[in-house]
Amino acid sequence: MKGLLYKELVVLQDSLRILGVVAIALLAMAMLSAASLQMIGSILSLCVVTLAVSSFSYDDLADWDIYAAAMPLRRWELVSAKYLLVLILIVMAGVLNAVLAIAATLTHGSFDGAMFLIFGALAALGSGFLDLILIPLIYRYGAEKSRLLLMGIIVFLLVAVYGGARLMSMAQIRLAWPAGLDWPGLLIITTLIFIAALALSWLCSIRIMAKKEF
Amino acid sequence: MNSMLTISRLSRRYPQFQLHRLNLNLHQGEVMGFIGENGAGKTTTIKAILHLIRSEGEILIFGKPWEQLSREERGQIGVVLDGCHFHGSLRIPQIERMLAKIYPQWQRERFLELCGRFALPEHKKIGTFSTGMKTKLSIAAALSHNARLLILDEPTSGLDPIVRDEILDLFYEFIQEETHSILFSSHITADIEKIADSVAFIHQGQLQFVCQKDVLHDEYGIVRASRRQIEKIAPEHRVALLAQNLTCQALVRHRAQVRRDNPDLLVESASLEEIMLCMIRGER
Repeated sequence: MKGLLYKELVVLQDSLRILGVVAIALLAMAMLSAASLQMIGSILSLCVVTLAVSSFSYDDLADWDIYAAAMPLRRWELVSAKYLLVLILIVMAGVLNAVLAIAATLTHGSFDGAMFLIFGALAALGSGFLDLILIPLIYRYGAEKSRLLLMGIIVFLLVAVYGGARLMSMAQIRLAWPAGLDWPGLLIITTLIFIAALALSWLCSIRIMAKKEF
Repeated sequence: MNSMLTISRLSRRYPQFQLHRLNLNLHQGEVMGFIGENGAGKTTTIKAILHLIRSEGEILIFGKPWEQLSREERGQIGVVLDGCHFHGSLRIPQIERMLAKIYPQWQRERFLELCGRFALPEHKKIGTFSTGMKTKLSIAAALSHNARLLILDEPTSGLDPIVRDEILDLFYEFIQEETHSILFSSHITADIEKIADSVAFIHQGQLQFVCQKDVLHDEYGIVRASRRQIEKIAPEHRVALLAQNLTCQALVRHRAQVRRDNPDLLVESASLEEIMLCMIRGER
């Protein structure tokens, strides 16, 4: 599995390098102004974490899967390497946000670095959720079809949330923020849900991969 | 002689194609050429051997089914599939480090020596390599993890004769170790003629014959004559008849016997290509 993980990181190193340059530019911006930095940090998290999906496209391009399946590796190891990559990318996104938060806090005393970190971590986990939905789909339908499916899922979710909000507003139903739930609490709950989703997604992918023909 | 690969009653059905009850036995020290036209079932067979597709029948590698092979044993199977499967953005040292972490008996020095011997540029991205260089890299990788069994799916297709010759020399070196074996699928019969000890011929998903190459050369013959003359050959010796512009070409078995029975006919020895051509395109 170490070999697979090494391959993933080396294949993604060009993309990671570009994101590194973007992060440095953001760091410079953080020194000048903290305005909209939270949004930029969140977008950066999204970009980093969704690199896991790009790794599947690179594999498709090289027709890697058939070769990997003929190596002395079990199929669950091929799947697990991808999930480990997702976790590594989430940690990377967290570190990037931490660096941005520290830089912004040092230059702007009033900047709320802790909140920035929480938003960054939530954005990274949110992007991670997209990966968790997408990875089993990719194993089942391939990278290209899965991107289309994901777009469909996102559109459906947007319509469902927007439509639900409209309906609730028409019915004059208001959802109150749960009492006692603060941002750190939300982060903990999101992390727990993420871990459960990760286990479910991983098991689905392993089952799909076990039956896959090349 | 120990069997390295045993295939019994291998079958696989697709909507347009069926691999039908294939039996093969590859022994230690043997190079088996696996020939057939495109779409005959060579790649399907290789995929079934490597457990890349589901199939019926029994396949034993080193005497064991795939599921019972240990990581070490699976690492002793060298595989070259059609094309290069390494990412275009990787370089040779990165591939070496990756494979070293995957194969239990990785031989770093051997891999670098083979890359040097093939003059593969160490610090160029694989994406910039020519087809021949990519194939050489795949072969270098397959020969650098202490493999005992090489499974090669069209390793020389699309390569020029010089590169093909270099690669065949390398396989020849590999087989000098008598515990090694090669299953070599190709539709380039000249390569099979050069390296194989035995030949398995598959056509439309059915195995036509498995035979020692020397026996093929000794037994099979080609007769070029009119259809009427060819029909005089005893039916049990006639394998296939291929009509050409003015004459016919017949593939016959038991060449010496045919010569004795038909002294007026010129019976030449048949090349692998002629055997394949007659059996695929001829009337049988």
